[in-house]
Amino acid sequence: MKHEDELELVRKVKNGETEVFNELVRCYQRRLYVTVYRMVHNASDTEDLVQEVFIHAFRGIASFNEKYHFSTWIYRIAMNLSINHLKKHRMRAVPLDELPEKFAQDKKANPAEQASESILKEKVKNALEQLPSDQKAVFVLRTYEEFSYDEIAKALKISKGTVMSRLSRAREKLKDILVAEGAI
Amino acid sequence: MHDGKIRKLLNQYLDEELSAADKTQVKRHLDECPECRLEYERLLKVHQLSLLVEPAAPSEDVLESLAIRIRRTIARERPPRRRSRILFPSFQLWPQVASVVVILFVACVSLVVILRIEEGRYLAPPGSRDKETAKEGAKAGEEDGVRAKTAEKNGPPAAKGDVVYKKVALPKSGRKAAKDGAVTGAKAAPRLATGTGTVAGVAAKGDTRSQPVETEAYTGKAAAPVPATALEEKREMMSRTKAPDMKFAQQEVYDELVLNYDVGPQLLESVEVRVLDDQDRSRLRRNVTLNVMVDTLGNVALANIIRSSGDLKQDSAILNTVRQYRFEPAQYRQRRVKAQTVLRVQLKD
Repeated sequence: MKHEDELELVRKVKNGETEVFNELVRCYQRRLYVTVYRMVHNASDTEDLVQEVFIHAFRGIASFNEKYHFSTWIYRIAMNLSINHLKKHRMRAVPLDELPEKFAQDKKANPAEQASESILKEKVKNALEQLPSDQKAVFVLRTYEEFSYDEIAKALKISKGTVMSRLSRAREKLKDILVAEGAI
Repeated sequence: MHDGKIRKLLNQYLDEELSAADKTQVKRHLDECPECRLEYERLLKVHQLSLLVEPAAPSEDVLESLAIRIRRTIARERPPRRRSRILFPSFQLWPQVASVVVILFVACVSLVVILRIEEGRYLAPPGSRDKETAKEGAKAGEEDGVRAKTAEKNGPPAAKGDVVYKKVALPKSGRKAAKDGAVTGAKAAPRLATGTGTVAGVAAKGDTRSQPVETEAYTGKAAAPVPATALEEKREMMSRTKAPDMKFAQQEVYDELVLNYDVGPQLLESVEVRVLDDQDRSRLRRNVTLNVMVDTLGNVALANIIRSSGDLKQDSAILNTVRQYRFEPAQYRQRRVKAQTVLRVQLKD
């Protein structure tokens, strides 16, 4: 959706046409679901958090500054809620793989290859789990959402320098873990 | 570019966030430096492995049920309201506005407290601040003025108030003293609640006579000028309290504990405290320190032992004895006040 189209929808919601907000939900829920899942690694928590993101957005849309992108704003809400969630549930054991039932699986022809890749994925997942939430947020937005450094800075309300340092530290830590695990 | 600087740029190189010039420089360096190239390859590997765990999109069922949940929740919410631009010019300014309001409030409160301390109002009895009382004072002053004039003419003492009297030697005598008293009384009358005119009467005779202790006794005219401001009132009071003749006439009693008194409680009557017969004298501490609160009548209102004799029974006996002591009450701004003092008692055999 174009920036202008989004703004038009946002203005309508601001003017009381609340049903228009469902358009924004349809537009962003898939992307937000994936991003939030990458942060929390738990399907039911992800669903709750995505719901909360949209409720926060709806309540705060009157104060949304139209000079920013709606996407940046809603990602900021999503990442803040995810970081808060991670801080709250830091000690909780997270099931590593809940996805098979909920996500469509791409089938591999070779079961041995599939098993080997599955082990590697688990190692990477484990490594990602060990990242601090603030570094993880930057890493997720850059690696999976392909946000630019500037966009990440706006979404997380941090400086570009902080984005670079967090990203660098995150990759350094992942590298160390994966080297130790023998994945690299 | 040296290795350290290149390594700092590797993440940006990977993310294609470098300028064209930097990108060329890094690329050239990586071609030449095997260590930096290895470092870059590891970073690239981390990136590629991270992409490996990218989950597929959530199923449509999940998204549909989520959309329904969101729709239902939002349907229960109130529609978002846009703030009025006039009443709420900018949301970002509210913290600053709140800070300014808080600072102003604190400044006002501090100013009021400082002014009140300056005026010595904390010690003033509630009645003296009361307008009604002031009016009564003015009325009494008016009556006193009339009495003073009469006293000045006739010479004999004017009517005395029903108060305690204390003998004082008045340095001024005759008509002059009476005139001074009348003038002072005229100024003071509006604020004094219990004026009697006795002083002027006594002074008119120029004799050593009784003078009221617990009352403010002034003479005054009927049309006594009211001081314009509280500061003037304060100056007025200060000027009068400084006059040696009016020392006791100014005396007021407040049943409020004062910590920074001008004159502390002075011990008038005391009894020797003796060691009890059944005490082990070798183990007993002879110097005992007490904290004593002396009320406005000079009695011990409260006594606590700070440094014990080492024996509870002996301490109890000391307390019982000290409670019978008599003091000259403490004074603050020539008013008798309740105050605390430290008392050291030496035990006698």
